[in-house]
Amino acid sequence: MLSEARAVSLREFWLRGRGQANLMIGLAVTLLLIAVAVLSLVWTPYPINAIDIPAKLQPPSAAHWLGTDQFGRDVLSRIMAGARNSIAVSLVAVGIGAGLGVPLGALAAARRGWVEEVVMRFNDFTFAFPALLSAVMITSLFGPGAINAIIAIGIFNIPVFARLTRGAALSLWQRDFVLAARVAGRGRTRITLDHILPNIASLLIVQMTIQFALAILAEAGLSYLGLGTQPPDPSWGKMLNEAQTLMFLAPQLAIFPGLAIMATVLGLNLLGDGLRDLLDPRLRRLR
Amino acid sequence: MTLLSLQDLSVVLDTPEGPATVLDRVSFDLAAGESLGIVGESGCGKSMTALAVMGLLPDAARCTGRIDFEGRDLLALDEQALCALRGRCIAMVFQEPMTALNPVKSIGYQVAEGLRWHLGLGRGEAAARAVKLLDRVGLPQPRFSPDLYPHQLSGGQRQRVVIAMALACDPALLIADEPTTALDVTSQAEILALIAEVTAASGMALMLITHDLAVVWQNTAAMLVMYAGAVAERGTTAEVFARMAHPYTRGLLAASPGALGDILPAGRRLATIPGQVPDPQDRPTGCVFAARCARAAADCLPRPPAERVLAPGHAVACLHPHEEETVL
Amino acid sequence: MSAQAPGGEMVLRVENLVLEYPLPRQSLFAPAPRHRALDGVSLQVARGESLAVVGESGSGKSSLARAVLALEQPGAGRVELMGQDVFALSPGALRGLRRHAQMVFQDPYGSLDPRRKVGWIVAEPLDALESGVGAAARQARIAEVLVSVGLKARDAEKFPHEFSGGQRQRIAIARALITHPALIIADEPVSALDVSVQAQVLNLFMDLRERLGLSYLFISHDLAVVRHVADRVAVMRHGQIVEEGAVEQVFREPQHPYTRKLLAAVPRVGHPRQAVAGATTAP
Repeated sequence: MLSEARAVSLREFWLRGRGQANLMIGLAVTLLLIAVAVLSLVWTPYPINAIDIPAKLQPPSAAHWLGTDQFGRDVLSRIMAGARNSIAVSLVAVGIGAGLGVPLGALAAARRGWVEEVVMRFNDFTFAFPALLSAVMITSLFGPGAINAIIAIGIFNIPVFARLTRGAALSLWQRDFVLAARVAGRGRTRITLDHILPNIASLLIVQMTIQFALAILAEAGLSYLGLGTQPPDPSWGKMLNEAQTLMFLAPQLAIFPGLAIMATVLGLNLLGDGLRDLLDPRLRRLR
Repeated sequence: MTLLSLQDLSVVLDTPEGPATVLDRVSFDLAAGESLGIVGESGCGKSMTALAVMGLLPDAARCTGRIDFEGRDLLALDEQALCALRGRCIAMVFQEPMTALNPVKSIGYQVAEGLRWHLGLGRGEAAARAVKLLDRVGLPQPRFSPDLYPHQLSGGQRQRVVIAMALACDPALLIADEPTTALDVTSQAEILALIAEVTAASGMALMLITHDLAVVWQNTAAMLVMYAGAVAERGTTAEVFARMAHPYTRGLLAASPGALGDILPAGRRLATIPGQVPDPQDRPTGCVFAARCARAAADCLPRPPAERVLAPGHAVACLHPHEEETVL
Repeated sequence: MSAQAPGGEMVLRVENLVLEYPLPRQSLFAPAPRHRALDGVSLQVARGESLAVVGESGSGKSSLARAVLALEQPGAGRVELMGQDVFALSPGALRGLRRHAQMVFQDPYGSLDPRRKVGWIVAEPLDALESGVGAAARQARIAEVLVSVGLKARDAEKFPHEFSGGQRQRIAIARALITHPALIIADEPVSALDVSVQAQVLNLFMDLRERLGLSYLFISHDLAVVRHVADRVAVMRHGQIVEEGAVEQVFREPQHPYTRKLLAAVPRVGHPRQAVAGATTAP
């Protein structure tokens, strides 16, 4: 029964969504990113970390489509592997943010009273630090590295999801069908699982794509500062960092990872916008 | 003198499910200073008629026919000309007074806005007129300062503000679309009395849209009964109520609890009209009411019934109208 | 099928109920002002009886419905359902009692979860309140209530958006009936419906009452509607009941000035008409 409902909505998704340029471009870019990341697991033009000093700092050519870096490593291969890294970091970071933020927000909305106060004050506390600064703080406390970067980015995602979930859940708690479930004797947990979360799922999915883009940026930023992924593992931010000193000698080293970040973030934002338009019934009707 | 005249107005909306005929050859005349009630259930096209007259139909709507207002065809006017007309010559009172008012502007400002915009009055003069208008609709100073905001008023008081805004430029036609549906029954009586009083006093024509036959009975001289986008029955209110020739009109009255004011004996049921209004995407080719009608016969199905005049000032679009008088 | 009301024939007994809501603070140092939504309300509903509570918006009638179902904690007073004080019960015992009192809401669009199928929605009280109902018995109960409100058994597989307003209200009534309650609390159940559909749903309420021996606490602002479904009527204003009596008596000889004002305000065909502008409009 569930799959039947899902199949209908997927078909509906396609029928309504294919006319939207935003959504389709975003979807294409995102799928390309995933495809590249998956491909890099089994194949890259050159081994990712193969040093070839004689061929260092080459401009784009038929052999090295995007050129080589100061150690002669193939930039295209490293960007492909960097996509994997970016996806892994953002996926886990958004997972931490949503995994903790959504239950916290739902709990605050369901319990009200002091529980809500505690959760929301914790949120305000986390929000009070600029996201990147708190990430810097965490990595400097626990040492740089991809894992700590993931945790840092994840933590600053928690209040984003907690706040969004609470806001949306609070308005749902006022709805009659939730009141009907209470009359039916449902407890708060069951109501949250059965009625609240399914009704805010679309909102959360949209927010996830946006946070996903932000997480990729944050990971790039942290790696650029030397607090994220450590060499020799490839990361777009790390590549930008290394390209900095060679900016005038080999601008392609900065341009291509920069373009990769830009295209990915743009694609994910377009996807998020498109999904919002598609899933918001009010906007749907206006179309 | 005819103020507003609709001739064979049809409106088709393109929807994802196909074209929907929301209005089907609606015609009526409304003379200056007269009152017309439009009754029907949701989806029968009464609000669409109001929006068409205001030039506020959705962009996707395709209109045919004519809407003449003071001799000008409204369907031929551009948006700028319509803007000059709306509020100035045709004003509207909406169902939900809270959403019709801007929550962050004072009521005095909102009433004065139309005066400044349409009549070009200065700030001070407009504010002074606004105070007078608020007083006119029963919100006198100093209790109801023009500096109050909509949320500080009750539903009935808000609707009075909306009426003051509508009256501001002394329009020739006032359209009231379910003006009391969102209000309590005591406020409803007061607001309806206020609308009847201000329109009569300033010679304004009134188009009152409602789902309640009793509201029409008490407030308008002429009436239209609409069903599924078409006019089912029309005439002077007295004639229509005396005869109730269309089965839908009778059904509507019989289904209204308490419209006649008597008490049903214990255990008796309200008369109902079986089924529901057909969707505008798939209306039958014949009489749109036939599927729910106890008097329907084979000749109702091939084509929609033409309107026929039963008496001076009374016409019905039905092949088998009720002949006997009602007991009113 | 319905459980017997222990301790007499009263399905519902409300005594001196007081319910207050805090309002936003005016000052940081003053205690928050409170709005008294219910100010000492007492009423009773006997088995098989239909009591209507009428009042305008803000009279406290919806707060009464919520307090009776223990959705709000009152400041003072008692609510007895089937002879048991609902606010003295443990959460588990209260859950057991909910089987006997269910509710129908005003807005047929807002009261059904748009993401659940009708069968799931209708069975929700059953799943929550009665343990050990087998899958086959559950299906049979869903089919039974859907048919009893004039829908089809196979409608259980559809989603709410596939139904019109009147049909949705039937679904909401089916949900309220599935645990075989003794009391249905209906909060403006027909005010969002069109006239002809309203009559269908009101008739359904009357049919069900005769067939199942239900008691109603029927909350409405519409006196005409109340007249058809109630035996007794209580008129509420500012959180208090200003007049209570048999429907015929209250409608024929209203005692309280507020009741008289309410009755006079109902528009009626055949009543003297307003001075209406204009004489004729030619067809």
